Amino acid sequence: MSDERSASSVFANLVRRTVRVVAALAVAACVGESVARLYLYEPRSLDPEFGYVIADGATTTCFKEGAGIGHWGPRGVRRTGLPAERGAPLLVLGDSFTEAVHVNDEECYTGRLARILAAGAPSMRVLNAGVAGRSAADYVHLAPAYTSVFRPEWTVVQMTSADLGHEAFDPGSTHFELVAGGRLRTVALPPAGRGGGLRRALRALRARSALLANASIQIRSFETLMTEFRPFHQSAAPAVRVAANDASFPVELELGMLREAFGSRLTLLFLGRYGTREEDATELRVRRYCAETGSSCVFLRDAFARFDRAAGPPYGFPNTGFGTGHLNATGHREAARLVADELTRLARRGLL
Amino acid sequence: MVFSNPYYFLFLAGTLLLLALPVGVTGKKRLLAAASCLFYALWDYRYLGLLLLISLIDYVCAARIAASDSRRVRRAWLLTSIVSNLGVLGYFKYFNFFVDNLNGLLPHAHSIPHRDILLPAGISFYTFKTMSYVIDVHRRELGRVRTWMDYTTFITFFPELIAGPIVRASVLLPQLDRDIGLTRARFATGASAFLLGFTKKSIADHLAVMVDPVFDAPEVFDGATLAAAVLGYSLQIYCDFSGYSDMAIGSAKLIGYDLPENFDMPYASSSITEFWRRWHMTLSFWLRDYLYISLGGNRRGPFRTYVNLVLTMLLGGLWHGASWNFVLWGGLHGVALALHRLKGTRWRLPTMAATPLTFAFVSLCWIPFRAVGLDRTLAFLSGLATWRGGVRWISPTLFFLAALVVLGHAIGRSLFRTEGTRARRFDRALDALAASLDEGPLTGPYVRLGMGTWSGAALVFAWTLLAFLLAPVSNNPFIYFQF
Repeated sequence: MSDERSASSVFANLVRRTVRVVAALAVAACVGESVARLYLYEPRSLDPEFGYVIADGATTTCFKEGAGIGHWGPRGVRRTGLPAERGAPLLVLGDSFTEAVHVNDEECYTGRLARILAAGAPSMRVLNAGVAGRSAADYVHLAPAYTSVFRPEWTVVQMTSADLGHEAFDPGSTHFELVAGGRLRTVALPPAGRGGGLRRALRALRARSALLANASIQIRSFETLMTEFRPFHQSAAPAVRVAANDASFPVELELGMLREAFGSRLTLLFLGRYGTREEDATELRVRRYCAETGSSCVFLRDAFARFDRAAGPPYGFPNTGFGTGHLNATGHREAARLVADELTRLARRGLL
Repeated sequence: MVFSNPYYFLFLAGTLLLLALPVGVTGKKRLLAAASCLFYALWDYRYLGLLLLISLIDYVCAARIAASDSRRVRRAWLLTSIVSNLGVLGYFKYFNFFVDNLNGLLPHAHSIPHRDILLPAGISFYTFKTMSYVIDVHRRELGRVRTWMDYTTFITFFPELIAGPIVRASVLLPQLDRDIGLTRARFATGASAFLLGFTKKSIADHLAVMVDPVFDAPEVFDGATLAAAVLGYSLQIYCDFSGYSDMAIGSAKLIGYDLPENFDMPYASSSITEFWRRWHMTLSFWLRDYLYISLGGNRRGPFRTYVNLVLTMLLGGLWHGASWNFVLWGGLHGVALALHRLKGTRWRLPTMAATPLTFAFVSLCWIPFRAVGLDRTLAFLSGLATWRGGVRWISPTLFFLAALVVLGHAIGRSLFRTEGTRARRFDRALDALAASLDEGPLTGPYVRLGMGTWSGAALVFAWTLLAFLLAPVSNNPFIYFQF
C-alpha cells in the first residue's frame, strides 16, 4: 500500500512538474512573441505568383534597424501614406532597400515619390512591390506576372551591386544561369520555396510568427559567428572578407534581360556603396551600359555630395551603424528626388 | 573566447562535465587547471608559457619568503617578484608608449624604433593577482600555497583570467579544498548571475553601435549627439564590465567557487569616494591595499594623503592603458577624491542632488577614457561645450536602454539583500513576489531565479528567450579585454 502510494505520488509530482514546465514555456513563448513583434515583425503570406510577400493588411514594425512602422496592401504592395492616389501606375521593384521596413511609409522613397508626383507631373500612383532578398533574376523571372497584375505605365527597379552579382546567381533562390551561346536563363524556385510538406509548413509558420522569424535570424547569426572562431589564433587579425569578384558576373547580359523583360519602360535606381566614395566595378559597368544604350538610370552616388555635415550618410541608423546598412530617411529622400527628377525628364521627352 | 560566444557555452559545459568525474578534489583541481590553460591557449597558445612562467616565479618567490625569517631575504624575494611582474607588464604594455614619449624628446636621427608587441590577454589582471599573493605572504597575512599545481589553478582560473574580477589569493586559495562541480544550488545561482551578465552585455553591445561612431569622429556630430554619446558610453562601459563580471562570477559559481563582487550599483553613488567603493571594487581595493597604503595612505598628514590619492589614481589610470588619456582620466578622479576628502563634512548636498552630480562628473571623465587620443578628447569637449551644429545621430533606443538600466538598478536595490540583514521597506510585497517565483526567499547577492513555481519557471524561460532573441550577435570583445 505504501509502495503504491509513493509510486502514485512520484507520478503525481512528475505530472505537476510537466504541467508547470509546459505552462511556463507557453507563457514565455507568448512574451517572446509579443516582444519580437515590437522588435522586428514582417508577417508574410504566400502569394501564388510572387512568393512570400508581406501580408495584405499587415502592419510591420522594425526597431532592430532604424525605427519604422509600415502598412501593406494586397499583393505585397506597400502603402504610400497618401489618402488617395490617381494616375497611371508606377511599379517600383527592389529588395529590402525598397521594402524598407526600417522607415515609416511616408519616409520611404516610394512614399516621398508619391507626394512629389501628386503635387506635380507626371501624375502617377506609386506601387511599391519591393520584397527583401530579391535580385535581378527575380525581377526578370517575375516580369510577366508583374506586368500582367499591375499593368505599370513605367517601372523603377532598385539595384545594388549584389543584386547583379552573387545574389543573382545564388542557387538557393531564383537565379541566373549561363547557358550555351553565352546567354542567360533564369532558374526559378517555386513560390512556396523548396522542400517537402514539413519544410513548407515551417516556412509558413515562420512567415507569420515574429518569434520564429527572429529566432531563425539569430541562429543564422550565431552560426556565422561560430565559423569566424579561430582556435589558438584569436589574437590574430580577423581574415578580411574578400568581396565577390564583380568582374566575373555578366552584368551587361543581366541588364539587357531586365530591359527586355519590361519592354524598356524601365528606370534603374542604383544604390552605390557610400563608405568607399569610389564606384565599384559593377557600378562602373552599369553606368557604362546605361550611357551606351541610352537607358534610364539614376545613381544615388550623384547625390553623395549633398550628404554634408548636417545631413549625414544615406545609409545606416544610430542603432545599427553609421554609413552602413539600409537607406535611412536622408537616403530615401535623395532617392525619391533623383527618381522624381528622372521621371520628369522622361515625361518632357514624351515617354510618360 | 568571449563569454557570449556559443563556443564558450560548449567549453563551460565540457568543463562541468569533466568536473563531474569521480577523481577527488585534487584530480578536479588538475582538470580545472588544464581546462583553464586550454581556455587561455585558445586565445593564443604562444602566451600560455608566459602565464605559467609568471606563476612559477611568484610561487618560488613566495615559498622563499615563507621559508625565511630574515627581513633582508624576504624583502629581496618580494622585490624579485615585483620587478619581474612589473617588468613583464611594463614591456608588453608600456614599451611602445615610453618609446613614443622618449622619441618626442630625442632628435629624429636618434629615434628608437617601435616593436611589434602583442599585448597578452589578461596580463594586467593576472599580474595584479599574483603580486597580491606574494605581498600577502610577505606581510604574513597569508600562508604559502602547498603546491605549484594549486597555485596554477588559482592563477589560471579561467572565468576571471582575462578581465577580472581581480581575485586575491586570500579569497580563492582557501576555496581550493572544496569539492567542486555542478550542483542544483550552484546551478540556480550561477545561471542567474550568468544570465544577468549576458543581458547586460547585450545592452552594452546595442549601446556600442550608437556610441562608437560618435567617439571615433566627434567633429562630425552635433552637441546633442555628443551629449547622448556620453550618456550612452557611461551605460555601455558599466553594462559591459559589470556584465562580464557577472558572467565570470556566474561561471565560477557553476564550478563551485565564489568570486568577489566587482560592482555595487556605482551610478547610485552620491560622492566620488562612494563611487570608488562601488566601481571595479576589486581593482579599487587592490590599489588601496597595495599601493595607497604602501605610499603611506592617510598616515602622513593631510597633504601627503592628497598626494597619495592623486598618485594612486594616476597609476590606476595608467594601468588601464598606455595612453595619456588614461592618465588624464585617473588624474581627474584622483583630484576629485582629494577635493572630496578636503571638503570633509562641509557643504553636504542632499542625495537627490549629489547623485546626479556625481554621475555627471563620472560621465564627463569617461570622455578622455574612451576617446582615442588627446586631440579627439579636445574635439569632443569643445563640441559639447559650444553645442555646435553637425550630424544628429541619436537613437530612441538609447533612452529605452537607459530606462531599462535605471529600472534594473531600482529593482536590484530592492530585491538584492544578503542573508541576515534587516528587512527593508516593501519587504512584505517582495517576499510575496519571491514566494511566487521560487519555493524559498530570495537570498544572497543575486536573485536566484527559481524553477519551483510555474511563474518562476516562466520568468526564467522568458528572460532566457528574450536574451537570446535580442542579443546583438558579434565577436565584440569586452571593453576591459583591451586592458
